[in-house]
Amino acid sequence: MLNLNMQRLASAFLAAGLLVIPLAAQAKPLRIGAQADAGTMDPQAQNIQTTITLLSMIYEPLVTRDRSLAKAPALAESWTAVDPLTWRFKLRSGVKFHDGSPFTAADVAFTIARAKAPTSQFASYVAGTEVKVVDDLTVEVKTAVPDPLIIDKLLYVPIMSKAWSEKNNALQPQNLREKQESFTALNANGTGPFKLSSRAPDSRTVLDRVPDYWGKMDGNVSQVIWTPIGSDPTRVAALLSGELDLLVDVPAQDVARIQQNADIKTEKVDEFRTIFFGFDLKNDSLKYGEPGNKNPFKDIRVRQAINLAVDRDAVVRTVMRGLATPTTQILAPKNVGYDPALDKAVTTNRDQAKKLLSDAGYPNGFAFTFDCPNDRYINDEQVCKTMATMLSQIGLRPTLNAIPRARYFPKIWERDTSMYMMGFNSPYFDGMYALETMLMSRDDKKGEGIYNYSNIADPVLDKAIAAARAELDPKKRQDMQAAIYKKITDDALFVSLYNQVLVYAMRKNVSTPVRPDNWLEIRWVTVN
Amino acid sequence: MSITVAKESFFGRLTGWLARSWRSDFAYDFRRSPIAIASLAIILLYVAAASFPSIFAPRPVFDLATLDFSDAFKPPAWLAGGDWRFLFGADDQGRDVLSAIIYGLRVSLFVSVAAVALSVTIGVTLGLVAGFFGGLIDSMIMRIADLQLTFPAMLVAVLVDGLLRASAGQRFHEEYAVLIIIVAIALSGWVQYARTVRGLTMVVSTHNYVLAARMLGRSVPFILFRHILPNVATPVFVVATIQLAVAIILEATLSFVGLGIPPTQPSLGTLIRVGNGYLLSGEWWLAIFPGLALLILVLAVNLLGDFLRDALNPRLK
Repeated sequence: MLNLNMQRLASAFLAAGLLVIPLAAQAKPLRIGAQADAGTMDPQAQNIQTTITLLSMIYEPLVTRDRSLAKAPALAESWTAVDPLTWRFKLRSGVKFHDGSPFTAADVAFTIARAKAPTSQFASYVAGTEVKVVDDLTVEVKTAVPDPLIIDKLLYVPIMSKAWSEKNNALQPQNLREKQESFTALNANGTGPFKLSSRAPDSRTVLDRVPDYWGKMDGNVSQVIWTPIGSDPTRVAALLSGELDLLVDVPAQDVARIQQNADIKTEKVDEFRTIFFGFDLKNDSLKYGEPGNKNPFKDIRVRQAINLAVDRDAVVRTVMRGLATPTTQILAPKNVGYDPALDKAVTTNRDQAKKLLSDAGYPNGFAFTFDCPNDRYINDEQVCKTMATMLSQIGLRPTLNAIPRARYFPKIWERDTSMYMMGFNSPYFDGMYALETMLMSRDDKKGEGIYNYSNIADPVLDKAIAAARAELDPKKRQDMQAAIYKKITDDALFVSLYNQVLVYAMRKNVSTPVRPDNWLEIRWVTVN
Repeated sequence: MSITVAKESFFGRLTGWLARSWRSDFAYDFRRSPIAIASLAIILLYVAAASFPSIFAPRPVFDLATLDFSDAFKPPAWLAGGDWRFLFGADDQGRDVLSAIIYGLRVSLFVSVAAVALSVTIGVTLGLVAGFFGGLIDSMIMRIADLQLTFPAMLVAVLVDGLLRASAGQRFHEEYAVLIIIVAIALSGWVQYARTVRGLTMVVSTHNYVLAARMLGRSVPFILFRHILPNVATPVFVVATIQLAVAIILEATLSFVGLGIPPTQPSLGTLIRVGNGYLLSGEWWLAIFPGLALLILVLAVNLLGDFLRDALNPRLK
């Protein structure tokens, strides 16, 4: 009797052991640290790369990129141009959302319609398109005018489940600007390799591998633990002490020290992100300036003076520790529209800057407050402090208002600013998106000028951008865009500082490629 | 003529008082305690530097136009690459760390002295009232004190700060940050005085001169502050000195976690918080020197407090 029990017990242990051991051998959790959390789990509510990256592990678009960054099939198996306005997508069969429901053409139509909603931050990617469901696994996307970039744009529109969204009253994207709480803020249901297991905003988000994922994973990550840590030294210490496996935003000042650690390796790439400052170019008096004064930033001489006051080499050397390249335009190299001639060095010249200010009628400078995020770009607050110092040296009296991104972006979205910091990377490696969204007169429906925080309204500029957008010949389009970027630099509409160098730091057993658009592709990450 | 006489008599009184003080037991103890002398010297130096920062600080810190980026991250003067214009090095803007410490000290000392003064006022008044009247009033005040003692001082300060921030708004908070932090620290420290004074007041109230004053019909506030207070003041003085060290630390802690003084008028705690960001990257002087300045100040205040406690306690004689 006793013997039998012992046997049973032994076999139970054995069975348990057999179950546990292989699982333990396969479990490859990846603990990622970042300076701030994804602001939502709604794939259309926040156009910030952190959010896009994390959600791309859960949700998938029709088209993705391969390792050479060329377009590759994802939920669409193939796509062909039916006519200059229409693309036909053949959808992948047998794909299921995490809740078990099948992926069909209706979901694509629903998602694109949802992305056009006023609360969506991705409206400009799908503006003017119409979706026709041909059959369950075929859709046609029709654009209003010939759009050579429409496939690239759809990379940023991951597909949601229509049935799930209807069931959970998630027909509209969450309105983050109004701080709306919605089902999609905390829940997700995609077709991707990971599903959302737990979500504690600003502290910890856990994603688990979907066992029956339809696609191919080059990497072997079984679980993603996403931990935002705002304090730079704390985040770095967490990596050094082994609490994190991968840091996707290493503070520039800590790179040298991290490289000395034998357990950690770093990967670098020139990021397609330019850091620059913009100004209120619309209002006649400054909202955050001396009362009664007219708006000095509308005067090109004032903006040129600021341009001359900036010591880009000093900023790159001190704050960025050499991990940036000085620039005088707002587009990074290797993007369509980039013109190397614009990146000629501007020599800092404070005397000339003071003379320009005095010509503009401000011999004694003027006082104003400028806005900066303190957890969005690498060393953003320190860069802004440095900016304040540099502007003081030509007689201006700046006050810095550095706030977290959760307050910063809603504030500048309301155009509630006199001067602001911006770091922009034009998606799909083409400068058109930046032109459309930052320079054109604002039209939320068309997705034009949505990030035109300066309130630029110049019909000539609008026309030139629209013409470049409609141009189908790549060579001509490059030249047209370069000409527009030259005008932006000549008019000193923005004061640019540098292009960031992106540094990932990881434990020795982790490997991942680093994309210049800072999009961490979880399918390519391996943990040994 | 009469003016001269008044002057003479004033100086006469002053020298007389000084001479008597010099001969007192207290002064004798002080002269024989090198630690007390050193502590007092350090505190006087700190107070002088904080009172006249423009004389003591080698370089301006608030005028951004005077900064030069080629000075950024200069290490302390005695290290390779150092510069004697920046004895303790320079920060990311090329600002002199020593000068920043001196201006920071000014904020730290002002906040802590004001906070202690406020909590002495609150604590001593409540202690006198509780000890003199006894009964229900005493019970109420002392139960509130007991309740507060169950919260750590840091928690009380954070709570007060949070309440004021939430009720008055962010903008108000930034403008009145110094005032708010003074109130927060003061409200976390009054209990010590109240308890000390209450016990002594209960004893002193039974003394004959107090009874005499009451029979003469003196008002209660007059008796409390004129007859009782001078006889319970000595221990308050000792507690206040030690609480000053606590207040300095509390201010630094609140500023370190970002709840205290904003970076536009940095205190020592704010300087340490900012410098903390560079600890891993090699610019250790940005956090270490403000930290050392704080350490030496608190140590000196504590040692002086210890000396006062021993010297003023007749039972230890």
